[in-house]
Amino acid sequence: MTEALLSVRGLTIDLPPGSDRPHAVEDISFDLFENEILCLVGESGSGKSLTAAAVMGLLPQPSVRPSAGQLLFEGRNLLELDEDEWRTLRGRRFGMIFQEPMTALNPVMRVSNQILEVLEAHGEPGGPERVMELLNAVNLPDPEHLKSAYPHHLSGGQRQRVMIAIALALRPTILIADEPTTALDVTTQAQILALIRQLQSERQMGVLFITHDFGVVAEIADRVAVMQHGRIVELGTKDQVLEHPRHDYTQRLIRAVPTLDPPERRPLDRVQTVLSVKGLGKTYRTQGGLFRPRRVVAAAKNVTLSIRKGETLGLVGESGSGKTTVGRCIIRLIDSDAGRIDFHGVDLNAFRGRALRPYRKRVQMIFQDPFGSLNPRHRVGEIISAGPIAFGTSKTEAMKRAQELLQLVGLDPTVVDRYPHEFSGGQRQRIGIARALALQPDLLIADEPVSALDVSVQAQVLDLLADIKRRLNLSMLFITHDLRVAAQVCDRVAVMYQGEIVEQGSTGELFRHPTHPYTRALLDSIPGRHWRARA
Amino acid sequence: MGRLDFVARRLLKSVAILLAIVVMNFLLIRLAPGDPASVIAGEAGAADEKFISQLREQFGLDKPLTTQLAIYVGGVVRFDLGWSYRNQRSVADMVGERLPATLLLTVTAFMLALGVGVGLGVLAATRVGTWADSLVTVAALGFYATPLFWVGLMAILLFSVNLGWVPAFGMQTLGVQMTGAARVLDVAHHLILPALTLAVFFVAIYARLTRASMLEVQDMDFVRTARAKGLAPARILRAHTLRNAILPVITFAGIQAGQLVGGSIVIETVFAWPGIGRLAFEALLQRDYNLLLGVFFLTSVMVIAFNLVTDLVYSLVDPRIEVGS
Repeated sequence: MTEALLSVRGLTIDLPPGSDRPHAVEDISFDLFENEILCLVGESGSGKSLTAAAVMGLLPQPSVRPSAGQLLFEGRNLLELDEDEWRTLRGRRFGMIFQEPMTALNPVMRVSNQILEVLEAHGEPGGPERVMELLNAVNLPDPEHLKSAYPHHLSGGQRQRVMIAIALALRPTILIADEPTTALDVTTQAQILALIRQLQSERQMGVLFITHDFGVVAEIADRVAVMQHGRIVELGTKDQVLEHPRHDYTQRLIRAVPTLDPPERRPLDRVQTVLSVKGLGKTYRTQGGLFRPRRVVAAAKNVTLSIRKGETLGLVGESGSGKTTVGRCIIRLIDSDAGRIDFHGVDLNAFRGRALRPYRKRVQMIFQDPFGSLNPRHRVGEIISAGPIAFGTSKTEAMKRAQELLQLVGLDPTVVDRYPHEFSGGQRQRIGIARALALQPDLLIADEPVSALDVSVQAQVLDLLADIKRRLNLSMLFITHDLRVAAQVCDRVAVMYQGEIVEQGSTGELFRHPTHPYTRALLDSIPGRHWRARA
Repeated sequence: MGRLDFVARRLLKSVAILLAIVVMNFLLIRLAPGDPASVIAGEAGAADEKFISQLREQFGLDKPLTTQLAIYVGGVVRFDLGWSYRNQRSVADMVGERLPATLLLTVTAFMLALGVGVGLGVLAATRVGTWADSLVTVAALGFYATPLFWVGLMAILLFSVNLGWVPAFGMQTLGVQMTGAARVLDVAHHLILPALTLAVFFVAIYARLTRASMLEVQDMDFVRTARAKGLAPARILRAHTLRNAILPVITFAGIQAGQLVGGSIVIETVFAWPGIGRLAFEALLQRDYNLLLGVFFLTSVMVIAFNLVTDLVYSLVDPRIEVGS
């Protein structure tokens, strides 16, 4: 093998005093070679992003700082550089792409100027013509028009292309990509991964690619380093790591990735229908003005679906497809403007306000964000018992029930006196599930319940949901963008696209023989779809 | 086209708001005890019922309140602000005469406050935790907490009475007829102390706001992107951090415009500045209903105009706000 572009030797990064561990990264070593993509994969808190920041000289110093080791690049130890020397490397020799395309660009500066800026900062000639070339190189449509665009005029995928144009403007030797596709929809993600792959091989760059997603690793990596608690536990070629993982942690992580092979499901044809939605519609209108046309967005159009007792229906689609709107209409958090919502044969749309209350407790929701969806000022016990108390259960009775529920979701019943911030994301999601179950609902609406969780925690929460559903014979509407999760969890799946359900069927049938072109595109975009995680 | 539409829409709304303000002011002022007739009669030493009711009849105060309101609003719609019986002059003439002085004072103070406030805020934010930061923060809190009139009086004592650097009152040197550049300089000399005093309170607000906003923006993703590009610190500060941090300051400046006009009443009184603020104070003491309402009307127009301008400026500096679309 040729000489490494970048050699990381024994790098240790200290965390500020009072953190949960002394080092974010501890004694890690790896090489990055020319013309390769090295994936640094791990769960949140594994230290992978801080490693990337250290290579770029962008650690939030002085609170987080490298305390030992070397970053060797062209014979120099980067850890000894001063800020001026770093500045000549950043942008010119090292390019970086970040996770959040929505926030990584300056909202009040034209995108063309944001690209131009990096050329000017390094005294590069070419100016506006180079900007046009770069916009073309990242396959942005209509670059001429984009010249005057601001970031908010662009979609997430387009913004990420602009970021890539900025990172590659000066033909850097090394590209650092920190979860560059995590915030993108699956079809956009596939395009951006292909673009990174293409540009990397055209330019023979070394790419350090940070991700938590083994599907993405399977799609893009040449070599893989697995990080856990600040250490690299396994390092090897993609085949070695994905197909023959040696370390116990890697094996566990890979096992936790849901496969795209839906398990056999028992048919539910003869079971009673719990929920039947017919022709549901919801249109958002912005208020028009004297000189301003009103804007109309159909978030849900003629949505028809049904869920039987004990059945899980998956509602899948990309962001903005209307799946959350449908969920919220069913639980009557928002009012739909067309259609029927028959719940045990009663049309919920016929009720308003107080009349709806008896049904409120029978349909409950589990939310996506385990941090935002629990009131930080309420104790866990209050959060879980608030619903039953509102429906007339005595406080002592409700508290007793809260403790039982905590046990049911795998938490210690004594935690009723603690506050949400004392729990991890996965534990909070368990609390959210306990809260939803407190009213003994017939129907659960789970809106991306595991999207914010790490893959191993995600597996635990999914197991818990499956277990509870089976024990209580619950029906569930499971809203998700993650087709791997849908494959494992759902009995049937409905695919939403631009407010409409374009295809609906049993999970096995839909995954094996998709008929609608959009469903096919969606399935084709799943990263690492040819890589089968072993069960 | 979008921007023109926006202005047209806002102007229509403003007319409605102004009418509401006029009606409210008219009714509120009648709630205060005493009226112009009783004050004039009292001063003339002839406060007998007959004389007062004669005056009331003359001023139109004997008519039912709704009729008076209708007459007044009818006048305002035709840009007729009524007659000051006290001063025997048209209200429009009186406030029109005083308006330039108030505009000069408030606009100067506004610019000063914004410029100095933002400057100090940036200084503090880029030197967080140093003595400079502490000084700005403590001074800002101090000025924020001190009443305006007190700052004004102390400034007069120090800079005019003791040091003799600047004049203590008025808008120009009395008894000297000046023209051209000499007049401009003379007015500017008189303007320094009142404008600074009025500005000082707002400097404190803008400095604190800018500091907080800068610190928030500094940690944002796009600032990290700017660093990853290898930009120089000065460029990052100007084009990325400050450019975004200034936005909430501009919004707040618009909201504060009303307070600035209110503050000018105090300052004009303390410094004998011949603006509408002082006119309002005098009119209030004399229960000169029409004059007072005229001043209120004009200040409302000023505040609404200030806000409209702020919104327009905001739409220019923040491309995400697309007015009219």
